[in-house]
Amino acid sequence: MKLGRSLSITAICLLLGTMLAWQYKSLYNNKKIETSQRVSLNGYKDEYLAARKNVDDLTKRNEELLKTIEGYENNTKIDQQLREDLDRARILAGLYDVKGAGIEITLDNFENDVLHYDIEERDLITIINELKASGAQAISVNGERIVAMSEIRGTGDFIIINGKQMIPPFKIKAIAEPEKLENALNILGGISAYFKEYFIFEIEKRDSIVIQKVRDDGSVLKYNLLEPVK
Amino acid sequence: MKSERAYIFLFAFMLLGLLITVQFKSVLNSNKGKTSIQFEIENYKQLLNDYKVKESKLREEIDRNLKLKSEFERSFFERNSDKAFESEWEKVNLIAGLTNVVGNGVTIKLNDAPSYNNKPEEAKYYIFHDIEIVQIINELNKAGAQALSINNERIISTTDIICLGPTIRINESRYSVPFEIKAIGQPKKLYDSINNSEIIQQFRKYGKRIEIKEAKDIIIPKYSGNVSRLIKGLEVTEK
Repeated sequence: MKLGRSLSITAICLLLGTMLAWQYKSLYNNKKIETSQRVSLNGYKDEYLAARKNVDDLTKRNEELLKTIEGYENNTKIDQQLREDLDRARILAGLYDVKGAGIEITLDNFENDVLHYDIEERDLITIINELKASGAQAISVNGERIVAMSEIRGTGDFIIINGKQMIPPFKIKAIAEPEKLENALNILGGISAYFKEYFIFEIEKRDSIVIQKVRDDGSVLKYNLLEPVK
Repeated sequence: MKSERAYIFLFAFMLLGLLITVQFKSVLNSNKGKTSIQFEIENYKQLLNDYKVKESKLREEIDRNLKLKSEFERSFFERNSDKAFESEWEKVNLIAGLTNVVGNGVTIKLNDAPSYNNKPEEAKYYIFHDIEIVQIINELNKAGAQALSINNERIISTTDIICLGPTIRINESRYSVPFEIKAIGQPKKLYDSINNSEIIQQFRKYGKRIEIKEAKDIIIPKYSGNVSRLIKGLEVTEK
């Protein structure tokens, strides 16, 4: 009788212990699964938002195209439209001096730099790419307009841009849409911590900046190997 | 003695009952939660799919309209006697990247290294980063490239190349590996300078896959976005 009683209590306690452990584990697992699902849910959400923006942009683009074509069909506007397009293409290609609100960056080596960090090709490429990413519409470095085919070549002693040798300090000018300027400064704030550690790096906001056109003497803009596809 | 035993059993079974209820409820809840998140995921997948279809339809339509537009322009130039205007038009659009072009040059295929040696903290050395793509583009410009594209996105004066998670944004569109860069210029010069460049040697050291080929008659498409939007902040001061 006594033995039977202890045995049954042992069995019940064992059962209870197992169930407690099981319960705990199942709760823990549920939480883990839920977290990983939330992560992938957020991924899909981001992708969806990006896709929607893409479609919005393309829709706008298509509407503008249709408007242009409509103007062409009415025939009266085609000459004027082409001249406007040509001017826009010239601005985009960097063939005009342009003015606008923007930022000016000064980049220089420290005077007494014990670590001897020199401004390199990669530093300038990074800054220019960040400027473009933050909405810059025209950029120049020490007066050299950055166009699609501008090269930045570090040779040790010099940096060469558009075939022109230059040495620090670098004055980098960029014009952006005024409403995007703050955003641009924020993005640049992200890289400025890094650059400030190694170089003199100052960002100034300007209401009006003038950026010169690209030299059109045949040394920068070459297109003799390109054949238009009709 | 007997009542003491009964109390123990009473207590034990009360606890058992409670546990079963809690467990049952937790399973029930987690199923409910799971289905609602999964439902949302399915929902977004569906939406994403719809938008991808819309996007490709729109791109086709834009392509058609672009062709229509250039036909109008060509017939205008045929009727018009102002040859200076026509040649200026062609030249400027070539420089700006607003013309489809064909020429000889190189193609470069880039892909991440096949394995990361199971060390996630080192993964960053084995995948392509935005700035590395920009460096390759810069190398090609140094070698005198005259037209460039990445995954058929034409590189123009305002093109930025920025990492967004696992994708890279080029001209406001997103792409993931593999990347294909096309460059028109002098094929041999482009090939030699990119093949011998320091950055390419480094990428190869980490097992990143790079395939450089000289090629004839490469077609590079024009920039297809909205030009007006790219120059909105610019006021012309001198022509």
